[in-house]
Amino acid sequence: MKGLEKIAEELEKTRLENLTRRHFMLDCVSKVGSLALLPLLGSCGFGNSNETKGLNLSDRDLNPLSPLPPPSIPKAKSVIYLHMAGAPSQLELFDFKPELIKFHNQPCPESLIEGRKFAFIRGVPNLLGPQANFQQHGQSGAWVSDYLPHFSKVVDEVAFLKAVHTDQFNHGPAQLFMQTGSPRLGRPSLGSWVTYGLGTENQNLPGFVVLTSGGKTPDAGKSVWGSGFLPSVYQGVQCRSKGDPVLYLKDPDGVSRDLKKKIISTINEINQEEFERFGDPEILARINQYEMAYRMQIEVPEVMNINDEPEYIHELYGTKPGEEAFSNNCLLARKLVEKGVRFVQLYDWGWDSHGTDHSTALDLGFRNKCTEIDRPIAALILDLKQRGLLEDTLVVWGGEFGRTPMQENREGKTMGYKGRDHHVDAFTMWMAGGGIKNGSSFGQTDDFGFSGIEGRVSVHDIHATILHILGFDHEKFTYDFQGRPFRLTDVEGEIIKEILS
Amino acid sequence: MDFIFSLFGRFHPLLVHLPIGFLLLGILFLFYSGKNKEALFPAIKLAFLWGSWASLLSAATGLLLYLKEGYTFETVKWHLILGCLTTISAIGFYFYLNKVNEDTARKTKFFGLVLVFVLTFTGHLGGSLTHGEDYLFEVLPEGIQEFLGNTHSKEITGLILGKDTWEESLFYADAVQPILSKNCNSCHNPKNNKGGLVLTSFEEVMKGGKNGPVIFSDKFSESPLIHRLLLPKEDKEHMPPKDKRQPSKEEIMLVKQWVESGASFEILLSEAGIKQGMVETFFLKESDFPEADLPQLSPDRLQAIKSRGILVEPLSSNSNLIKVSSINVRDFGDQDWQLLEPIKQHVAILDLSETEVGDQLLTLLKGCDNLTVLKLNKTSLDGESLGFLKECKNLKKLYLNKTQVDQNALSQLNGHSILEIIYVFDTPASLEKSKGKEITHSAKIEYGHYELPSLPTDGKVF
Repeated sequence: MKGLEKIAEELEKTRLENLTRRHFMLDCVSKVGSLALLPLLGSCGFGNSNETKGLNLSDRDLNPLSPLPPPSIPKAKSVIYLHMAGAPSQLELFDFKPELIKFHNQPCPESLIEGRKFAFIRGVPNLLGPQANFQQHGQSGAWVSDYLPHFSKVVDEVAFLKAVHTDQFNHGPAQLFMQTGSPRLGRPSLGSWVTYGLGTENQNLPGFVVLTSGGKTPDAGKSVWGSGFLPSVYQGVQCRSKGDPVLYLKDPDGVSRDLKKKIISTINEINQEEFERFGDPEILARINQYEMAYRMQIEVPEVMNINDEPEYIHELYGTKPGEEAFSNNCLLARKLVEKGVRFVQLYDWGWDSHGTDHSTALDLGFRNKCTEIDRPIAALILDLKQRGLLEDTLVVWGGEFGRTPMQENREGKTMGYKGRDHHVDAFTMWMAGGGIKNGSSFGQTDDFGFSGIEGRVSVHDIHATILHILGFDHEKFTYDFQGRPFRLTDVEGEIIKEILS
Repeated sequence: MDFIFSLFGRFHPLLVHLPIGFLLLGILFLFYSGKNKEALFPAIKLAFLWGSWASLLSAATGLLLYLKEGYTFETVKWHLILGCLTTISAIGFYFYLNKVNEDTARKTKFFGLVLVFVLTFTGHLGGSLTHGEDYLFEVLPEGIQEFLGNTHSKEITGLILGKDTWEESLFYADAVQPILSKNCNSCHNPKNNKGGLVLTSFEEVMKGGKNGPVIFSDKFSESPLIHRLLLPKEDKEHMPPKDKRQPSKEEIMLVKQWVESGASFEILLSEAGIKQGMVETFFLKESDFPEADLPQLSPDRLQAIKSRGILVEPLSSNSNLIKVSSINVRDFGDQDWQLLEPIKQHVAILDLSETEVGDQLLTLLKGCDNLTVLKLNKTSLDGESLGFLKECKNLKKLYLNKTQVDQNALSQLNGHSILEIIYVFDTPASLEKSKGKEITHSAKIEYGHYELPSLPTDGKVF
């Protein structure tokens, strides 16, 4: 009996010892530490300090992706953003400059480039006339070159922005600026903001899907669809364009769906305990991702499979089943939007037409790139239209900057192929779909297409306009981080009313 | 040396705390001096002496602040009067205390109470001047604010013109003033007239500021009012200051046009050569959805619907119309409508695509008075009962892609006065269209099946 008591005593002593040490190591350290870090943590979304005005986030406690109504009635509920990574030349596609033909091969007037810096052009370059033939199309009379013969048939569905400008002339920063509103790393991407603000309707699919083509991903890396300081559950989910869209989505042999469910719910129970203990929203994101992955197992193979589409749809898009192709991605984008995905981001790589070799020559490789996207983008617009999806989907097309009216003269030398350097002053983008004034065009560039002389719009203006169409006031849509509210448009941005219906 | 006065004036918000402290201390001693009543009596006198001096100093700096910072008398009137009253009372009471003995002084507790009240009220008025009227109010929870009667929204809407009536609107009163109210009045109002300029009425605008008129009646186009609006944002002279919200270019255009047209009060928008294109952005956008005065939906009711997996959400966070979607419940059938029946008046967008609903559903939709968009894509619907949708008086868009409807079924809806478009891509109706049959219909029918004919350049590699 005495031995038993002794053991019990010993046990209690050990327990207390452990308790004190653990208590000190874990609870005290983490709590005292968090006390010191409280202001910092508060700004990282710890606790409930990350309120966004105008959004009712109470439904978000259990599911960070649950749909939320926007502050005002939206014109579109989804976005398909077609980003041509590398920056296509506006002067060979949409911005017709007959003056430039006259001055082809003449030295560029120095007044134009005085004090300007270019990525590769040195000294005084020669002007380069348009390498394509232009014609007016549709009722709107929009100028489109013969590089895009199919697209030119749908110009009446589109609103052109002819004088977009940016302030970054290198791909990485410019892509970040275009997609996150800041040329430096760390800000959430447009798609993340939208997914954060609106959630997603289909609970079996991610809210923000990214598809890439052209052989490479954008120069800026995955940050262009990153969530920045927003909880990481709002980042873009990159699906593979070839093979299984999402790796390891299939259950391995011998693992039944029931077993999978048990595994996931056990893991999530543990994670839930962890969340209750530390309150880190990243744990919620992880729980949600496990559940999402489980639900995706059913829906994703269905939605990401283009083989079940009828033959005429394949013909319309010019798909290349089994390959990684922009056309397949366009068709997938339509399917995803149809299934309620909020934001589909397509990146097509290979538009950096410097003229250093065949693939970057404006009349060769660039033209092939145009052929690759021409039919798919026209098809996407028509396919969305015939399903009535164009009414509430916003389609955006553009690169990260434009290209110079001058021929590139890398290291001051004349180059063997025709190419243009990076240009920030003026380039063309277009939008179509919900809330957009069909067949309109806004902005104008000077006779050489060097700068905008009318209707110049900034990257922030484009973001403000996209958010406006989705029902947000870009000045009020904020997220508190590091002690201050952040906006996608920082302190700028004006809605481009001229292209709104 | 003029700045010395301004500087002293700006010490007013700091100095005012001294008399408040001293006088309160004196009054508190008057009430609760504990056991050593006699011993504290000199302290009371001292507190009132210091209080008097501090009051005088505060009053003097306050007066400087009032004179130097462009406050109008109307705004500061009560703060000024009560402040002077406090000073006079404090000095008066100090002299009174010097004359009487301690016991008599103790009988003047009532005076102490009055002084506390006056001090508090003066201080509050001063606080309102510095921090704004809403300073205390705006941190209260919304419910309490409403209870206290806060109905005014702080948003100033700015200019809104009637689509049909704009030509008859007064240029100044109906267009320019709302623009000024939205963009300029936070600094140029009778309470706070920076640069001596008030832009809240026609008379004040014409009067100008302390540097002279803002509208030159001999050279309208050079008037500072428009000149400073048009300067680049970085310019020091630019108005509004670059860290403030900037007016839109349409707003600036209108103000410019008004000044250049002669800055008259009587002129109408149409008389000043304004074209519709210049004012279009100010028309009230017609909403796609009806304006409905509906009761609030109870969260419990919505919860019941949500727990069936149905997506219900307001069109926007302040709309009482809702959107209902079965995107996550593919087994939604006609019988599930009973869940939605009680809220059917609220439903503006109904998406029951890819579910098991059939024609019977159409007969149930009667009474969906605000239903504007109805999506029934990929259902087994054959359209026999489409005629029932005539009861949905607000239906504008109908999606019947990949259903079994044919053109005959669609003709039941011919004559629906508000229906704009019916989508029938990939249906018997679109098949009939491809064979050359096409009914006339009051609504646009989107048959789809677009093609992009192949071109010789397709597949050509350069």
